[in-house]
Order: sequence, then structure tokens, then C-alpha cells
Amino acid sequence: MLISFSPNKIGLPDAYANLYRIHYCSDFSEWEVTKTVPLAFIIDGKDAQYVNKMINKIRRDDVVFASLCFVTELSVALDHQLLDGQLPEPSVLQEKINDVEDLSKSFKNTETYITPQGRLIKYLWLRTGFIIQPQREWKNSRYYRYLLLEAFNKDTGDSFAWLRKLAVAKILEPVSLIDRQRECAHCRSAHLSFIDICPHCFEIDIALQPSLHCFTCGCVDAQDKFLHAGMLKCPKCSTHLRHIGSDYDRPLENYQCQSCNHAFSEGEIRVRCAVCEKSMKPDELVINEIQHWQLSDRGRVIAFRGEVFDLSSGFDQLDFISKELFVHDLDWMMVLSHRYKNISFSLFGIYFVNLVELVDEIGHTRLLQVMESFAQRLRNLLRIPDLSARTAENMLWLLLPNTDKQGLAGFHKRIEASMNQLMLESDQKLIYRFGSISSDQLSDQEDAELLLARLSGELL
Amino acid sequence: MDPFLEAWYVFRLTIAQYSELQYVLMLIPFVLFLELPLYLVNWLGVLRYLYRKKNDIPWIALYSPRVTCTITCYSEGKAVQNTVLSLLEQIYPGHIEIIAAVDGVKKNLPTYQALKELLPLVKNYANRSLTILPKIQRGGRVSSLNAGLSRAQGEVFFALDGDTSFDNQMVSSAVSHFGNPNTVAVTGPMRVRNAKSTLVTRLQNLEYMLTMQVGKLGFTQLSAINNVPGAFGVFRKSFIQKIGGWNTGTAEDLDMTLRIKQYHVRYPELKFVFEPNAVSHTDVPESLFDFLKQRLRWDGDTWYIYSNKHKSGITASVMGWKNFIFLLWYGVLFQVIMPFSIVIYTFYMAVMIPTHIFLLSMVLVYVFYFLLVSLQYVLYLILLSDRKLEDCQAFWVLPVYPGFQFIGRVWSAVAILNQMFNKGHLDSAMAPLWVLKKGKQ
Repeated sequence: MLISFSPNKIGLPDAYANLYRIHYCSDFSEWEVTKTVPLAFIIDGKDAQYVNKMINKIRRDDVVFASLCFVTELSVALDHQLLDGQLPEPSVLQEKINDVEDLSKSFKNTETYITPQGRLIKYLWLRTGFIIQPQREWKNSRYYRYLLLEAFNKDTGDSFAWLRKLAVAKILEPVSLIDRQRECAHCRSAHLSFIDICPHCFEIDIALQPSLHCFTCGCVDAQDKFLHAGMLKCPKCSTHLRHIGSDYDRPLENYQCQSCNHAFSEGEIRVRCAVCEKSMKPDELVINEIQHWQLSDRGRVIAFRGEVFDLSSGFDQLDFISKELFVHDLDWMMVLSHRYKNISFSLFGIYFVNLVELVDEIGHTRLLQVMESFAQRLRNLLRIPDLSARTAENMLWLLLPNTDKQGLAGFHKRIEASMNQLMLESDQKLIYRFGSISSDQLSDQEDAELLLARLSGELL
Repeated sequence: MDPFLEAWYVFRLTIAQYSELQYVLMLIPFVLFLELPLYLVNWLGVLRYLYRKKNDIPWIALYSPRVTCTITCYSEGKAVQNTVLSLLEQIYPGHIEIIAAVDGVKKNLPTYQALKELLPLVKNYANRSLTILPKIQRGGRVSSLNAGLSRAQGEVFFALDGDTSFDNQMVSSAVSHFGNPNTVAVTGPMRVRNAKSTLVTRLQNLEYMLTMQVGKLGFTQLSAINNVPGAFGVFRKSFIQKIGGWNTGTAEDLDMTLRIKQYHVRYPELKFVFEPNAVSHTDVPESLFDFLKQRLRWDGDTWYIYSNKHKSGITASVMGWKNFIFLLWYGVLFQVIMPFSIVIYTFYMAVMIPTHIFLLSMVLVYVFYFLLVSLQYVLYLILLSDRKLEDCQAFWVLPVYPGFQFIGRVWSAVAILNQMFNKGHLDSAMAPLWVLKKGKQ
């Protein structure tokens, strides 16, 4: 079924009417009565205002926010970001409907998808290769608007802030940079005016005051004092100044403050925000990079798996501690084992050489699964007091207390077995290296930083 | 009659007594009939100017129209900035539109770049604007001037060179003459900017004082200017447009001057003015080789203009008797015939008369010219110079100057011969060959 929005309920051509059941509505509220979910919405494109009103309501709806929406006529004034373009030929339309249906089957619907983020992911998942583009609007205080984000956000909160969150969570990734705009540090408005003011008293009343420098006597004064009856004459030595460069020149101080008489060559620049009327220095302005965005790999994974798991947070279930803390603890262990010979420990490093390349070879999802299962097995190997840390995306460190040389060898065997399993899963393509040391092999001079550096040097 | 005859008799007797003296006297007709009267007339003109300056009521012109300064640029590079800057610095209440036409801009990118660097500076000056005309195809100086003329919005058109800069009263003092509707062209003294560089530039500096300053001032007072120089000519735009702008070919400045003069009979009120306060400063060739190269072109072009381009225009019926006589006297006799007669005469004397007599007469000639130049120089220094201290420097080259003059004269003859037999006007740095060839041969 198709639903056609048209203020006058003008019918669609027979080509569509023959293929689909078409329900005509003149207004969104009319549809809201039944809330039937159609294959696609078709909006009469004659009146841009009407189209924009309808499409904004559709995208803000809880049920049909991701539905296909076409217009019968395209025009410049439309909110193109929210639309799927002009109504195509019936055959193409059917193709598009099929595509969306296929994709929505592979989309994992969990309860999280009542959130704006979930809706956005679904919307983008159903439109392969969709690029989120900002729209310029001088009336808007930010100047740029992301209409799609505003719609899914249901106009609550700042769409730029949300975008930043999405980018940090790596759900969206930038495609291309289109502008780098300076914004007010207080209200983030892009409507700024730049004023030069006196650097001494910060008054705005400054004027360009040409001054001359007489070469004969070195007198520097305002040009007015040199002008006598159509010629330049030095007020001090009365020399007739005829030629710039040989008789006189213009020294650098070019501005004079009318309120404090301070002379200067470059005024200080102040920025005044037209929206919040606050004033600030240019270097206080916030730089906002305006970009085109698209759904990232991670976003797609979320779309079909319904949960989050990636390389950077893939080992989260290992309860990593921060590097600083790890180094601190390692130091302490080193001091302990040095002082009390009965205390032993081991340090174990795992380095994955080609993790990034593997993404291309076996696919992101598959790799994530592999790493996830590895992380699970590794967690089973570790005891409660064992500490783990990650110093790089593909570099893991394990601090195993009360583990001497023999214990380390045992651990090595066990992890080797686990690794074999991992190799099978990754089609023998994963390359990894181990590096380990136990406390009795340590030298006295080394501290934790040096030890880690030395071991990772060996691994790299 | 008796006393006269008596004197004549004594004179004959003396010559008979000292037979060698008659060779020396062979020089007299030259000096007496060609050069001395010219200098005399010139100085009379200067005196007339000084008299007027002292007695005329000074008037301040309220006339300050929009003016256009077209700078023809080629390979000046950074030096062109001086020119533009000196125009921006003019003390002139009206608008000065500066058009910098860069000829063959692809080859002369540094010049173009130097001009572009000035654009942000222009807004610091009230009533000044700078337009850069990048000419992709090199077309020569004439095409640059005409391009500027077609774009010009000012009433007064300044045709200027990219290596010439100006005193800050240049525009106002030049423009004041255009308040008189009959004034069509104004020029002013040209001074040598790089006088201190070499001996050759010092000598040219002295030469410019005596010819470009004294010479032009004096002759213009008698309404007989020889040439409005290309590096610094100021014209009424409407007039220049009416006569069709500049004409293809080399020595376009002399061509323009002669064309204006040819209106003299029809419009006798048209006026050339020399304005001593409109001072320009230009660079002259620093080496003797470059100097000779420049003069080869200048003197050759003079002959080309007189003998080819304006062959039929130089008549009293077109330019009036005064201009005609002056042109014959100064242009033809002084600039063309004299170089040859000096060369032939010197050669003749060297061969025909005893060596010691020849040397003696050469010394005499030297002393005569030294005195003549010194007198003119001192008069100039006292009466005319606007930078007395600076001009005193030229004192040291006075003894060398007659020799320099002699070389110049001999070289003039070479240049004219080069033009006659070698079509020297086609070998000019002013325009590419294909442009020069299009002109009247």
C-alpha cells in the first residue's frame, strides 16, 4: 500500500494505481487516525511548504520515521535531506521498496531502537550510502543545520552536540570536510562581527592617522602638521619634502585612539556575537568543523547485531586498568620482588601484528567475533588478582602476581592453546607475538616504564 | 665705413701673420651659427620664464578633476612599486586613478606580483585607485598606453614609465595648467635617480639638467618644445582620444609631439607647457654599453620619425613657421646634420692639418665647450635648480663632460646611419618586432 499526501487529494498516475493500493490523505492528522504503515509515502510536491510540513512530521513519527518518502515534483525549497527524492517509475519504485524490505529484515530490532540514536541508525541502515549533509540557513544562529538529526532528535537539544556524541561513539564517520567555522564561545552562534579596538584602552573609537617621518631631522608627526599650501613641509626643520623614500616615509604607527591618544599599528580585534551580544577575543572562538557524515562500520554492526563491539572496546570484558595504574602496580611488584625474594610475578605481553589489515580480509564483523571469543577465553585463563592493561589498540599487557618462571611457562602453554583456536577461527591469518618475563629475570636498574618499553620493543 | 674696413684689415693682417690660426677659425661657423644661437635662444626662454615667475600673480588652481595615470610596465620588477607609491603619495585633492598596464604578463610575473602586493595599501589613501591591466600578449608600449587610454576615466591622462617616480606635487602642478582649455600637453623636468651609481650616470645627470630641464623649459617658453618625453607626458584626455591615441611604431612620444604640432596652423591656440614643479625621477643606463644602446635607439628613432613617418608633415603650412623653423634648426640641423659635420670635420682636420695644430684646435674646442657647459651649469644652479645641494655634485664631472658630449655626437651619427641602412627602428625594446613591422616603414 502507498499513502499519498496531497492537499487536494489529486490522484497518482494509473501506472501506480494499477500496481498498488493507494490511500489518499490531505493532512498528516488524517493518517494519524489509522497509522497504517505503507510501503512508501508519496507527497504532492507542488507546494514546498506543504511537503516540508508533511516530511518533518513523518520523520518525527515513532513508527514510520524511516519509511520511504517520495515527492511528485522536486524543487529547491524542499528539505531534501529528509526525502528520498522524486517519485521514480513504478518498476524502480518497486526495486527500492524491495531493497528497504531486505535491509530491514537484516536489521536487528531491539528495544534500544526507540532512542533517537537507534532511529538514526535504522534510517541510515535502510539507505545504503546515505550521506548526512548540513543545510545552510542564514536565519539560523548556527548557520548550518542538520535537518535529519533535528528530526530524529525531535528538536530536543543541540544536534551538533548529538552529532559529536555519535562521532565519539564511532557510529558516524566523516566523509568530507566542507567548512571550518568559528562560533561564539558562549552560545555557539556563527553570527559574529569583528571590531578593531585600541589595544591600550579597548575603546572602539580609533582612526587611521597617517603620520610622516622627515629624513632630514627625523621628525615624526601627523601628516596634517606637514601640509602647507599644497606641499609637505617638515614642521620642525622646514625642509620641503618632495619624494617618498628619499625625503620622507610613513612610519608604521598608523592608528590613533581618539580617547586615549595611544598610537599603534595594529588594533586589537574583538569579536562580538550578534546573538548573545557577548564579546570575546578571536582565539577564544570555538572552531566547528562542518562535515558530511555517513554510517560507520561500527554503526552498521550495531544495525545488524543490535549491540556494540569494536576493536577499541573489544576487550572491555577483560576489565582493563589504565596504563598509568598498570605501570604503577608493575613498579610496586618489581620493588616487592626485589626486596622479598619469595615474592614473584610475571609480565606477559600480547601483540597483534595485523589486526587492521584483517578487517579488510575477513571482514569487520567476523574479526569482532573472533576477538570477542578470544577475550572470553583469555578471561577464563586469568585469575582474579591478575591485572590487564592495553597500551595500544593491538597491544595487551598482563601482570600475573605470584607467578614464577614455571608458572609463566604453564600460562604460556595455556594461552598458546587458546591462540590455536583463535588461528583456526581467523583462517590462520592472524599474526601475533608474545613477550614475557618473570621477576627473577629482572635487572635491578630497570623500572616499569623501561621494562615495558624494552618488551614492546622486542614485540614490535 | 672706415673704422670697419680698418678693423677688417688688421684682422686679415693678423691671420696672415699667424697662418695656423686660420685652421682654428674654421671651427667658428659651427659654433657661431649653429650652437651658440640655440643656447642663446634657450636661455632667453629661461629668462622669460624667470621674469614671469617673479612678476606674474601666482594663482592657485581650484581645478582638480579626476586624473588617470597610466604606468607602462614591463620588466621593472619591484622597482615599479616606487612609481605607484609616489603616485599614491601625491598631494592632490582630486581622484587619481592609477592604471598599471603590465605588458607580456606571463614573462613579467615579478612585476605583476609587485603590483598586486600594493593593492591592499591603496585603501589607506583617500581618492586613489589602482587598476592592474595584465596584458597576456606583449604588444609594446603603445598598446599599453592605448589600453590605459581606453580604460581611463580621468580628464587628464598621465603617460608614465614604470621606472620613473615623481615628486608629490607633480600631479597638482601639472593639472593646474589644464584649467586653461587650450593646454593639451604638459611635461616637467626629468631628474636622474641613480646619478650616484657610475660615472656614466653622473654624466647623464648633468646632461639631463642642461637638456631636460634648461632646454625644455627655455624652448617651451617660446612655444617650441622638441619632445614630450615618453616616460613623463601629461595630456588632455579628450584631445588625445580625438587624435586617435598613440600610433604604432617606436618613438611614439616624438610621433605624438609632432602630431600635436601639426594642428598648429588649424588651432594656433593649442599649448604645450613645461611645469618645473612637476618633477620626475628616472633611472638611466649605468654602463657605457647600455647608454650607447639607448642612444642608438633614441637618435635612430629621431631620424626614422623625421624622415619616414612625418616626411610630409614637417612643413610650415601645417605646423606653422615657428615650429617649422625650430624643428629644422633643432631637430634637423642640430640633431641630424651636426653629428655628421662634426665627425667629417674632425676627421678632415685630423688628416689635412698638421698634428700639433689639430691637437691645439681640439684643446681649444674642449676649452670652449667646457666654458660653455660650466656657464650653463652655474646659471642653472643659481637660477633654476630645485635641489641645489644635490645638483652641486655634478660639478666634479664638468671637466669630463665635453668629451662625453663629443662621444654622444659621434654616436648620433652612427645611430642615424644604423637607422638609414639597417632599419634600426625595428630593433627596439619598446615593442615586439611583429608589432613594429606593422607600422609605417
